[in-house]
Amino acid sequence: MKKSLLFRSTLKHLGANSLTTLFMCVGIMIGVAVLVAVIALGRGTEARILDRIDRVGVTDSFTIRTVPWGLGGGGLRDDHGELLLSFDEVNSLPDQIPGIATVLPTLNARSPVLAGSETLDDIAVQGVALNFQQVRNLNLYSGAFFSEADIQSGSHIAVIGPALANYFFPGENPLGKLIQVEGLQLEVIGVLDTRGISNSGRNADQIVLVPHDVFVELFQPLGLSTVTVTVEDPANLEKLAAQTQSYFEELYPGHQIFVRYPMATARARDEVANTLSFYLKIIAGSSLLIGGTVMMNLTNLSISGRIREIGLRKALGARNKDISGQVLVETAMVSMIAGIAGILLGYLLTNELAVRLDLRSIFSWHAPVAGLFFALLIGLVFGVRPAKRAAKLDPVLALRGSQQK
Amino acid sequence: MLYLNQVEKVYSNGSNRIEALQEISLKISPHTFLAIQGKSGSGKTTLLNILGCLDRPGSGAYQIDGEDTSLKSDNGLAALRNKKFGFVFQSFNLMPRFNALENVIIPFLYSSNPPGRPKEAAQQMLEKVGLGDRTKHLPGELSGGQQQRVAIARALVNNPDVILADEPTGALDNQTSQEILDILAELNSEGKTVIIVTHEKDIAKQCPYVLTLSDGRAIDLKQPGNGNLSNGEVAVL
Repeated sequence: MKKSLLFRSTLKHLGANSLTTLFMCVGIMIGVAVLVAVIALGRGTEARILDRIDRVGVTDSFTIRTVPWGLGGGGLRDDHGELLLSFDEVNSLPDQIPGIATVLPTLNARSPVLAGSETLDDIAVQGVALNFQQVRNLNLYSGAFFSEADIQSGSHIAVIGPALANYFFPGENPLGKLIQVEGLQLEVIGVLDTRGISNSGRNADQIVLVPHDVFVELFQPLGLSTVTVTVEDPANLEKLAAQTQSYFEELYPGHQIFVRYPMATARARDEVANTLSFYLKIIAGSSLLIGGTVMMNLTNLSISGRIREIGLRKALGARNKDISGQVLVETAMVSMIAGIAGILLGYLLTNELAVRLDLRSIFSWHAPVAGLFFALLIGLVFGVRPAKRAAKLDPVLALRGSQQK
Repeated sequence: MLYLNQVEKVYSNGSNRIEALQEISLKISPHTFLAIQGKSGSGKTTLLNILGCLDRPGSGAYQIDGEDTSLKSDNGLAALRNKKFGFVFQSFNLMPRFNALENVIIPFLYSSNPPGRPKEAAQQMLEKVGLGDRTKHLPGELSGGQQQRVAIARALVNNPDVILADEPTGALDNQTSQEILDILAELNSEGKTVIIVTHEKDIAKQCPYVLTLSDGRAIDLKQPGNGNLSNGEVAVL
């Protein structure tokens, strides 16, 4: 009985002063809305980063290059006049720097590929080592990856991307078929799963993988410009990457060595989301604080308008804590109303931001729970002062409608 | 039994000292019907507020049924106001957005043992003051006399021993004033102690006991007759 009457009387009061209530709500509502957006966009971004890392496949590897990303890097002497690392230097890296598990020389070329009467120009051809599939987290659609025996025997074999398989051998089983690169016939022994567009914007499904030695036979590279290095303990990734970088920079004075970790790349690409989230957090925090302050002052004002009522309640037996409790119920109720409105507004805001800025958002129970929690927290924290003030009113003076002697 | 011993109350307003009550010693036994009269500023309301535990004496002692109120905490006084006293005011002091029934229920909010069926208890009280058919009306929809009757029902709902009324008829016309006074007299005859503050001689002279205050002092206690209305007793000590 007590509680329902208390809640109903508070609702009546708030409803009768709806404009004041609205002003009380606005700040907290905006704060909660932005908070919901921060959480939803933050979780979306995190999921997108994890997704990318998953596709790139590795969190315990880094890649070093002698040219910046976006330029050459295939290991062939070309127009860039790039520095080429010798195979011996690269292969001895695990002996030179403890903590490095394996090195994965990457040999890239772009070349026309033929099959039957069809030709595709400018297809990525990569020379790979035995552990390439595992390190890059590649799945096969059909067939098999290169075995150790395949690689040692120097067989002319290839694993091709699904886009090539569909183009050259539509409706047929590509396994065992022949393709031709640089005048050499290669037997298709496997087809990769679809990967779509890679981070660098190329179609990752238009690719020919050949064993390392076959690539050397095809393109006669003079050295390596790109090497992927895996480490034994991912915790040491950054340290080992820096060591490797300075190792090569000492070996080739005057040249710059570039280092990149997949995770860092994936994160850096979401800088927009990170920056946005940073500013949104500031907005959410300050909106909540401003909203709380506004609510506190309006509650103070509304108490001043209800001094006789408070005096009466005291005359009828209300204790100080009954009065302060009533004020806190009021601020809590306002903040909960503001919180619920803020959550709804937050969903709209999130969708709008996600569409406009091409971000991903994930809604879960976290956002509304956090929104209501912070709204309630603000309501109670900023309700304490008005509540104390109301409770301390002298009943005799309050009944007369005045606050001070 | 309400017992005041050498009660004083001084308000200081900047450099001004207002001696609202001086050397008041008073014994009010149960079932008394007492009117306190005096000019404006004579200390009537201050005395009533101290009797009702809304205010504490500045010095002197106030005992209720043998218990010294100065030993009570603020919460203890609030509990006394809730249980022992019922207040009636000149301006009714009803909650404008609550209907009559809801106004009468309010004291239960602060009661340590409210009745199991508060609405029925409140309904009964409204019937007792003749407003059984107005329970859903808002104060604004009731006449002044009806509003004061709602206030009396509210004062009675926790079954207090003492009804304290500060100018209960001050805002009402003569006929309605008489009706309110009759209700109070009836309550007294049922055993309640009734103490009213009034400046209206017509009202005061109908009361069994009339205490006159002047400049904060009790200068006179009369029994204008009509003594059979009250079983109680008042003594200025």
